[in-house]
Amino acid sequence: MPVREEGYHKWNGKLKEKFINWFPITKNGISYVYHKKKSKLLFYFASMPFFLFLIAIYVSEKPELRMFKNLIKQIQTDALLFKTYYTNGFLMFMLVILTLFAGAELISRDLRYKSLSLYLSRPLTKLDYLKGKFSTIIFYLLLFTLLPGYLLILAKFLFAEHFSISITVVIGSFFYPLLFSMFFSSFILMLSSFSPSSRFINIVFIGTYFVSDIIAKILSNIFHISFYNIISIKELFVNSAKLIFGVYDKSRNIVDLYLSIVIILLLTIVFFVTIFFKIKKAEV
Amino acid sequence: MEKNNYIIKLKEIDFSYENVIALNNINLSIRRGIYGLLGPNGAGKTTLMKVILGFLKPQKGEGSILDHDIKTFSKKIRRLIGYMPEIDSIIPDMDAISITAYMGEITGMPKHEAIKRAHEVLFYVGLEDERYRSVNTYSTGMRQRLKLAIALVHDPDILFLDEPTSGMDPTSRLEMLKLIKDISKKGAKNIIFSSHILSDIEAVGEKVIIMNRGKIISIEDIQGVNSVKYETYEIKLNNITDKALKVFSNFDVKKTDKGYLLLKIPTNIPVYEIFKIAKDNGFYIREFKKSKTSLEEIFIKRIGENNAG
Repeated sequence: MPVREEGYHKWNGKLKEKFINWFPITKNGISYVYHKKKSKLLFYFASMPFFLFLIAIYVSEKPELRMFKNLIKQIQTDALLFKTYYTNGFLMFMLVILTLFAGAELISRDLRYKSLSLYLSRPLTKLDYLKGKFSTIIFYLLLFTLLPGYLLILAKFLFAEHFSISITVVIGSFFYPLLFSMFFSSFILMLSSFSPSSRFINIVFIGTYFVSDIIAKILSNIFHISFYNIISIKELFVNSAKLIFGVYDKSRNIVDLYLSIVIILLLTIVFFVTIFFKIKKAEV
Repeated sequence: MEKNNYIIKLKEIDFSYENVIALNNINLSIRRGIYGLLGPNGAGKTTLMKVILGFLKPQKGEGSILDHDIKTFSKKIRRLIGYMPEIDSIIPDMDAISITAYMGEITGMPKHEAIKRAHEVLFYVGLEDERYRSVNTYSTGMRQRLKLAIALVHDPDILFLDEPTSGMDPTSRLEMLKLIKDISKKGAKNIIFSSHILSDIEAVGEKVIIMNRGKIISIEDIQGVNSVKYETYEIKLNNITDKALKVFSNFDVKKTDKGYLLLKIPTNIPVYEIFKIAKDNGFYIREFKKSKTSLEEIFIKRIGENNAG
């Protein structure tokens, strides 16, 4: 590999001060996840509930298919349909896997290969770096929550003879995916910033999700009190969806539903603060 | 500051890692050119670079690069500088073109320009045939070249190279030094590179900053160092007596612990004269070897003085 005889050439271009200077990190992250092995398979499975609910919306909107509508409890109202869509076990499971798939290595890989100094020797702050990484994972989570939600609303508009939709569903379809994506993105990035080992991250993330659910179910069954559901990450989101879409028993005490949202928000803040301090302390 | 021809100016910089003092009252003014940063391991070379680059905030003191304050304009400064870290920091699973263009884009280059420039700099550092290969398969020498290409992609004014020849085989090392010299000449770049290999600094540097125990103990002009008109040789005689010391007294003779005589022989005197002098005075030279380079001597002397002080 000889040194080229032509010698060094200067670059005559001008560097631009970009408003969103972390955007190349996001683009690179999105492309990296997209090109990972089995990504298409995962995307296919994560979008399956959307197609299923697309059919459900078609059934619920067509008068000639009313007999089917009457059979399926979940499509009786728009709010119930959207709440069911967002909290169905399969979608939630696929989103958990997607979070792991897209987010586990985002920071840990840079820690493992000591590439943080490459980023930070550029005009980026540690916060810019985090924004770039965070946007990558949030992009994928919103892609499979927010986008399908609004596509379902659009489908409803296209299929319905007389279109009408509750404002709660429209607003809920924005806030619930945002809440979900913020929580899971910050959780996985926090774990990713803790260890260069992706195995550790996978175990802790999956473990927390499932173990919290198992413990909540055991306690709820022993004491016959649904309040224990707030221990489960999954149930926290089911409770939040009930409240956001207004699908709950109006006669019962709903403090646990409010509490679920508060817990999610508090945990999200804790995760964000932890990531920030973790990266701030990271040696470059 | 640049108005005063100083591209870097540091004043009373202190930095500690918890209880360990890494930089102690650093005062430094650097003009344009190639500067070697020399010092034993743990002298504070890398910490000094990191403070200048704004990676580490000094507990005390102030400084500027190209008229920009290192504490408040670190983003602006990083547009003007290129940094090649000592550690093997590469983003895995990417090819050299993608990673170099990606870093250019993050620095603020338009995407198409960054890609074009990535090809150019990779060609320049000699990685043109390997540019589409995953960096995971690169050897240490190739990684060093890639790191240099990444540092050069946005054509910075100042290059900071932290141990650029670390882990390279002798041929690659010489090529890297040749590159550094070429960049400085044709690219009109200011280069600050740290090394613990004295010959590297002697080969490309114009000035050398000697560091020890977190302090700058000396700034020497390498041209001046190299213009010293003598070479140092070590000889071993059949018998070292006071007479031998007297015979060679014209050559600033010194006796070493290992039984050698250290002679400073002016370059205009052919070395066979030493053999002749020895023979005429009844001595036989059993070993004759060239001693440390002039920079090594200065380095050892300065470090010795600093440690004693």
